[in-house]
Amino acid sequence: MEKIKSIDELRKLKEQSQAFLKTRQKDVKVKIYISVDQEENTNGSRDVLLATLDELQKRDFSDFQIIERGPIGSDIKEPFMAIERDGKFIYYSNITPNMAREIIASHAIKGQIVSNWASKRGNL
Amino acid sequence: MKTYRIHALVCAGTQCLAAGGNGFKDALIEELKQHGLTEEVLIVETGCMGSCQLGPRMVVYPEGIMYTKLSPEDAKEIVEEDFLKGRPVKRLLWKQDEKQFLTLHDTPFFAKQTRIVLRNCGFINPEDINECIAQGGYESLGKVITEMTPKDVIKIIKDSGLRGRGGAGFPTGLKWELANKQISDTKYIICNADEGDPGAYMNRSVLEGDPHSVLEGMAIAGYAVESQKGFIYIRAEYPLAIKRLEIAIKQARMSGLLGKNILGTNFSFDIELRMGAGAFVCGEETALINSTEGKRGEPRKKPPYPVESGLFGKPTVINNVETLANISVIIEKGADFFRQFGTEKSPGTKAFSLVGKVNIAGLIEVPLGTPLRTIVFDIGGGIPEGHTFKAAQTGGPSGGVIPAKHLDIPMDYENLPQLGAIMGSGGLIVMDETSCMVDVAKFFLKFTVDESCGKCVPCREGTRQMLNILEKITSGKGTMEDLEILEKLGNVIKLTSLCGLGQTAPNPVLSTLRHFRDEYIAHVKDKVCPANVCSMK
Repeated sequence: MEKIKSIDELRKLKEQSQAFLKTRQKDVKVKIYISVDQEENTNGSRDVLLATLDELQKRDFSDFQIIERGPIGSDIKEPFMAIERDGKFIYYSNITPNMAREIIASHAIKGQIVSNWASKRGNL
Repeated sequence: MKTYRIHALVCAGTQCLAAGGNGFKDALIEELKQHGLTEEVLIVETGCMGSCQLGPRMVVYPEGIMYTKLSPEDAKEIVEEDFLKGRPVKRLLWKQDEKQFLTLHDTPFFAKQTRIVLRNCGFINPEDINECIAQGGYESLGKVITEMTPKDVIKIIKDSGLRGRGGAGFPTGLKWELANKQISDTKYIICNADEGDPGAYMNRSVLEGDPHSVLEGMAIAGYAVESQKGFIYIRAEYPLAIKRLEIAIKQARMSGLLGKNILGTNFSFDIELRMGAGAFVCGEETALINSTEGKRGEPRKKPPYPVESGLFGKPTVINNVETLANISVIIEKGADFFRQFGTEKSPGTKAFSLVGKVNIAGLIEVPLGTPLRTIVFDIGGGIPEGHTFKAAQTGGPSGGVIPAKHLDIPMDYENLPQLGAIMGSGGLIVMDETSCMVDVAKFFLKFTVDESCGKCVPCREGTRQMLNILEKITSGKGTMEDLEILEKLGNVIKLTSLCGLGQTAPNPVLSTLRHFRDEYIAHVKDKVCPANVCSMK
């Protein structure tokens, strides 16, 4: 723990510390919805989740929340991911851990939708 | 920075720990290990979350799912269902009136509350100063010492109308102004954390859940009155609060937020703890000063008031924990923000520990002036097991009872005294028809008889005489004349006692005599205790 030497330093530390509390806050920049593995058979969702976490960590991005979701219909195949950002909600159906990394890097963090993989379906 | 997808906030307030919270937490840690989730789930031990009766409690973010009455056996299911599959464990949710509530914000318990003092309680890790700073902690102190003069600070606190939350309701800004005007090389700030009312634990919860809010309030007070030294007088029966305060003070010093030249300015302020041995009288400010000095905890006569001659004969400001926890919010958001809540003469909010015969007992905070009915029935969920509300006791042994016909009374500094009750520090004990009001008065009086320091005659001898009479009445040997003696004696003790303890000790008797005289008469004339509590001989 270092000495805070001015009010500007205090405000800087506040911003850094707020990043750590994002999981507890109401408002975040990006909400990431990810499917879950079912009871007996794994569908690969957990691997997608782990890749997602790893990518976010690598890119030192903290303004997100991850929310797990069960199956949501036959048109969105598991593993799926949905990104809620800038008031828009985009699904990515039937993805791999590597696709998840790409979606995180370009859509979640930079706001560029990966159109090739994006599903047509709208809201959750 | 390491990020976690789930923050599991486990209540580590004294109430939840007493209910077995540690056992659950240990089981949860074990389950996380077994499922390989330790890198994804962060366990945060927080201060009191409020609805203590439903403890041990846990809130799981990002969704804020709230689990109640947890036992170690529940940990596995929560990890496998919620943490791994995103499915809330329904059987552990908050249930009330046949309804289930997913998050705290959905509950009727929360809906009518306003959280200023308890803003961080149950939300941050009180042992990590960074979590406090993330929530804006110490920013008000920074603003005060870099942008404001002591007079500016006093003005904003005066404008806010903040009144002392220890019970008496003295305007805080005025107290600071009086201390500021004193000319002295040394002045002191004391935080009164000697919460002693039976059933009251608001102050303890603030100290356990958000200790930095109190440290910051003290430092701001120090700047306003030009003091460099503060003491927190806290009872030794609060070991967890003491531990968290010690950690908080240490972290604040290491961060340069206490000590010499705070944030690179000329302002220096440091804080020390003083542990009290748990005498009720030491909550009285002059007795508290004596005890802090290492002397016997007996009150001094006033004047001189502590702001003129307090600790070691120096000008001293004594503020209650809750008063101090309000300060940084007033500085940050302004006097007008604070005045949005509460009433004209009693602005702001008040924390209560709502205990006794209510469905959801716990720590709450409401705007001043909130009707008692709202607190007991909307927030507290009413009286359990089909019983009926009989009375509520405010102010503990110094307070009085509010009977059912006055349920709509606004809870503030103006209205409560009109019924012979007082605001007090926030203990609120709800009683149903199974409580005997004479017995209740006897309970509180016995407490003050035990706790009287013995320095002045009216309190030492007078309360003892009153207790003897109450014992006579509750064993069926009282006379109608006794009731008159009780009233006469009570009024004399109030007028002639040296300190607040004696001056308020007769209140429980006088107020029950006023509102439940029939019950006294039944004991005396019919030799019957209507509530079937007292055993008549």
